[in-house]
Amino acid sequence: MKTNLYSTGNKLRSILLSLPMVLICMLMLSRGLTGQLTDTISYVATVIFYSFFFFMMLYKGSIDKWRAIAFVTSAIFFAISFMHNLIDLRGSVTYSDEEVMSCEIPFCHIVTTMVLIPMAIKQTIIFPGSIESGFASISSMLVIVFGSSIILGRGFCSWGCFYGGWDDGFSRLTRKPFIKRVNLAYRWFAFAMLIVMALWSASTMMPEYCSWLCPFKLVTERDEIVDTETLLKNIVMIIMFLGLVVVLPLLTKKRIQCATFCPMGAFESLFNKISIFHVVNNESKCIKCGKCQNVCPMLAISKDNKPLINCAKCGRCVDECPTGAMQYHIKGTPIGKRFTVARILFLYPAYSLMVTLIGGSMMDAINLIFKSLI
Amino acid sequence: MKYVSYIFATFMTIAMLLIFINMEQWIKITVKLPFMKVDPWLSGGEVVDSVITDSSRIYIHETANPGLFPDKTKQMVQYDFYGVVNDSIIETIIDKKQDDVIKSSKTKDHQIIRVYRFM
Repeated sequence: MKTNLYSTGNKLRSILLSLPMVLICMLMLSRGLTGQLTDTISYVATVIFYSFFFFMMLYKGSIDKWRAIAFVTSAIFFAISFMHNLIDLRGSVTYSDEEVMSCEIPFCHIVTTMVLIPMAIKQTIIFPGSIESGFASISSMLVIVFGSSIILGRGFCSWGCFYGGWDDGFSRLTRKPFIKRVNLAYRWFAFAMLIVMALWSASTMMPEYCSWLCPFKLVTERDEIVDTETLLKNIVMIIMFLGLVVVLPLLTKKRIQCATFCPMGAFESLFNKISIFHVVNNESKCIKCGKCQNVCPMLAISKDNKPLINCAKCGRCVDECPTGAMQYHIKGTPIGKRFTVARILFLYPAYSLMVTLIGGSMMDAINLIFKSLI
Repeated sequence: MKYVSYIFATFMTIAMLLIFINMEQWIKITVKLPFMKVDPWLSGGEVVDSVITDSSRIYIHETANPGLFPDKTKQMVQYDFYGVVNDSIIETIIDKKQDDVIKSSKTKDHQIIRVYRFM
């Protein structure tokens, strides 16, 4: 019954509403085309992939399930593409002192939280990357981070972050959680991490989260093991990935890394205050069943069933709410009216971010797989 | 007011696409911001002097100090060597007392040498 609230119910209407997204996919993914046959096949496959899941979100009326399939797949293909490009460029996925000294390290969006204080005080960026050229330059990533955060707020974590898909994916593998209750207070730990990481990095003028704690180095690039320190960093990285990204999400069915640890997620939460899109609880329909609290993977629903500042706008509570009280909403409009319109107006920029930020890597990865098979 | 909100929300899709379509322009604007330079302790800083010989060119960068509030007891100077580099250049010109920490890295066309001095 709940899916009928949001389902367009009508195949033709869903197709018509999906057409703009098909055009967006075709336009934004065409930027990487070279004219080779494998490129064209990858392009068509990627456009069909993303268009299909957008159509299903509209036709079936449930966002989270179809979003997650696209999101998790994108994260895996991003890792394949990224690591392959590193091996092509450097011969390995590790970086050595040479790459650091030459400022050739791609800038990751999580680093944003660590560079802010030195940016403000010393007017420099504490990251050995390229300012304006090459892959993932500092300027391009800062534009993407701030631009998309102003538009979507923490929706970046559910629609754009190419690391979040790992956490999201592992949290869905088990049918039921083995640890049924997760203390909701843990959500604030991510904010503590944000402050600690920002201050620690400012004091040492090094991106310390990247150096020591980031679990996602396992699926991107990591330190070359040359001494005890780099060995320790790699061990910590593996422990963090297995613990926060694999085991705890499997046991709790929550996105533990994203919800409780990631400083970037906490930083993105602050943009929820600016973003015009948010998830609200229409109290006139709420029956206080608490289902939204149980299903929220980000521990972002309060005890009185209201979405909190750390809501990542994944849509799971919206899908699971039995009465349709949880809804996407546009600030400045009445709650409860035209919620389907709000939902669709949110989906367009959110899904566009996924297609544009990660879709290119998916296309690249499909291309690599094709070439290896031929 | 609500119609303004709906129109604004509609424009958010265009805004999201423009972030990527217009990326080169955004980069041109962003790089002009005063903080858009890698910290000299990590990048070597700007070139302040050069030594040109028949067989090599040496570019000497500004002295870099680490820390949010620069720690003057630690210094680093980066040298970019184009051409022939040998140990005697390092010993006689750069590290005469041979008590500095030296890190070296070869790029495609030149060698970077960083000399760290802790006082």
